Formats: sequence, structure tokens, C-alpha cells
Amino acid sequence: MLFSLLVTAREGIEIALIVTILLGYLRRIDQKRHFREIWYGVAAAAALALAVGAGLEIASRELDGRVLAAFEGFTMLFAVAVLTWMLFWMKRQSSGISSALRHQIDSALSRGSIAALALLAFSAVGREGLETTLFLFAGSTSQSSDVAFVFGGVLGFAVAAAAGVVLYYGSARIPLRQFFLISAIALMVLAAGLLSNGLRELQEAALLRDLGPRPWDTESLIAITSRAGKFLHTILGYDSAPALAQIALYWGYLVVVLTAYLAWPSRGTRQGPAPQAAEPVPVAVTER
Amino acid sequence: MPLLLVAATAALLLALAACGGDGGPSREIKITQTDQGCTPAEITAYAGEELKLTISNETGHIYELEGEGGAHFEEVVVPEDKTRSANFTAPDEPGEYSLKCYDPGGVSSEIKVRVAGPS
Repeated sequence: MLFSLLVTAREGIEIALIVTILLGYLRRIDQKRHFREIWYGVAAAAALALAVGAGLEIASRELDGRVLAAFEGFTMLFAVAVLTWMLFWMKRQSSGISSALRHQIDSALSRGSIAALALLAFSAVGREGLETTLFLFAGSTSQSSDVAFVFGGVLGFAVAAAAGVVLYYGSARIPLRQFFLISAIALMVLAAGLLSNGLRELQEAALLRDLGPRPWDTESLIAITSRAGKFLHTILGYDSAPALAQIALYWGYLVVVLTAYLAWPSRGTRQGPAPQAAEPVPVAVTER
Repeated sequence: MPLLLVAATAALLLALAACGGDGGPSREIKITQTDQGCTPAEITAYAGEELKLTISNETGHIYELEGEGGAHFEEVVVPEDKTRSANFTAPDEPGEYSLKCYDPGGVSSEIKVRVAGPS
């Protein structure tokens, strides 16, 4: 549950920010009649993400044994790669994304292209939606309860939707900079766990035979089949007897990616102070 | 703050550990995995009976045990030269079921589960 909650809350708030920027800007330039096109784009993006998720789920149900293990293993590694890239991309783009989206709205309206507005919302939200789907699918293969996993996901989206409403009406300031930093670190921990689990899946698929010695065995303390063991396995990639390659990959990823992330400049810091915010929505964005 | 986090995590793990089953398994079944497959080839249980399966992997690579068809037993991966335990609840309907011993890249075998009526 915590896995899906963290993923959907973080990704959902990114989606909420994008939608809020689009709607906030249309409201500001007195073009609220185009809200409908934005929502069409958002709905299409959500449908695409759901369709991809359903496709992955159906494909995995059709597979068995080594092929299924390979499918899950490669999906986990791919999800980690996409997520890592997106974390860095979002940090780099955070201070400029608001003006970029506003510019694209202006461009679409000046051309009289209403469909371009829907397409703009579709592409911006769709990217986040696909990322969410991929990460949720990769994490779902090692979760212990379907109901709790779905509940966590829905709860995360509900939190994100509430944050979106607050941002749109500007009724309260949300500490977005802290939220994005903490959630990015939490996602990196989840990703490191997925990396370790992905390696094990590839071993189960007989694509990797020897992952090295297993320096310790904590099965007697926290059994991997116990509730606590499954919980830690999903969140932290806990393995009671991890192989050396899993340990090296887990800690190597965390140290390298976290260090690089903290040192990675956002576009705003490279170009000096963030631009003066206009309207409640961009204020929220420049706080990242 | 870190102390608070550690305490909260420990409390959560204790709570999770406390969420055990109702009464626990009635018997322990020992399963051994070798390069030739799993033994025993067959186990018997009453409908709905909870068993503790203790799986020893005597091969030099990982091995898996999981339920098939109507036998619900979540995959347990046993590292080389290790022993793992998990509870298995026999199906409520009498009949023949199976547990699959899966050896990635090697010999996979089945353990037949004969389920009799309730005790």
C-alpha cells in the first residue's frame, strides 16, 4: 500500500501541477471556455495510461515461468531507468515548466487551434501517466495484497487531487519544494529496491546464473514470507539473504543517484533567481 | 527526528508481525529441493488445513515453490543452500492439487497435494 501511495501521490501532484498551470493561465487570460479541451486531453491521457497498464497486466497473466520472470525483471529495470530520468528532468525543468506551458497555450490560441490545447494537456499529462503506470506495474509484482495496493494508489491520487484544488484556488501555500525533495528521495529508495528485485527476477528467469555470495541471512529475524518481510521487500527491496550483486547495485544506485540529484542544477538556479510569479498557480511551481 | 523515524518503523514492523493467523499450522511438512527435483512427491491434507512448509534448497542455485491451479501458495524463492518456511492452507474442496517446484534453467517438478474432506 505504501508503495502505491507514494508513487501516485508524487506523480499525481506532478499531474495536478500541470493541469493547474494550464487551467490557471486560461482563467487569467479570460479563456475559461477552453477548460473543456484541457479536460479532454487529461481524460485521453488517463485512458492511455489505463490502457497501457491493462495491457501490461494482461500480458503478464498470459506468461509463465521463465518468460514471466524475464518480463517482470526487464519491466522493473526499465521502470527504474524511466523514473530516474524523469526525476532529473523534472528537477531541471521545474522552474521553467510554467512559462513553457503558458507559451504553448498562447501559441495554440493564436493559431485558433483548439485541438492543440487538448493535445498539449494530453502530452504533458500523458508522460506522467505512463510513468506512473510503469512504476506501479513494476511494484505490483512483489506486493502482498491486491486490495491494499489499489487502495494505496487511489488514496495517493485523492491526495494529489486535493493538492491540485488547493493550488488552483491558491487558498493555501503548499511546501512543494520540500515535498518534491522528500518524495524524490523516497522514490529513489523504491527504485533501488526495484533494481535489486529486478536482478533477482532475471536470475529466476535463468538469464543471470550467479549473483555472487550471500554475506548474511536475516531470515530468522525477519522472514521474507512474513508480513513484515513482504512489506519491507516491497518498500525497500528487502531480501533476507541478498547476493553481493544485489547489495552492490542497491547501494551503488542510491549513493550515485542521490548525490547526483542533490548536485543537479535546476534551470532556475543556473539562470539566476526564478522569474516573478504571476497568479497563485505559478507561485506554487516556482517553489520547487 | 531520525530516532522518531526508527521508532515509528519498529512500531510498524511489530504491528505487522503481530498480525498473525488464527492458531497457526497444525503440522510441518519438510520439502527438499535437489537437482533431481522436489521430495516428497506427494503430501496429504484435510480440506482447509493449514500446514507449515519448510523448504530446504540443496542445490547450488535458487529454487522456487508455488501453488498451481486451485492450490493458493504464493511463490517462495529459496536461495542456494538455504531453508525457508511458509504456511500453506489446503483448498476447501477435496481433490488433487499441485505445488510446482521451479528450477530456473533446470529440472522442474511437482508435489501432488491430496486433499481429503474436513477432519
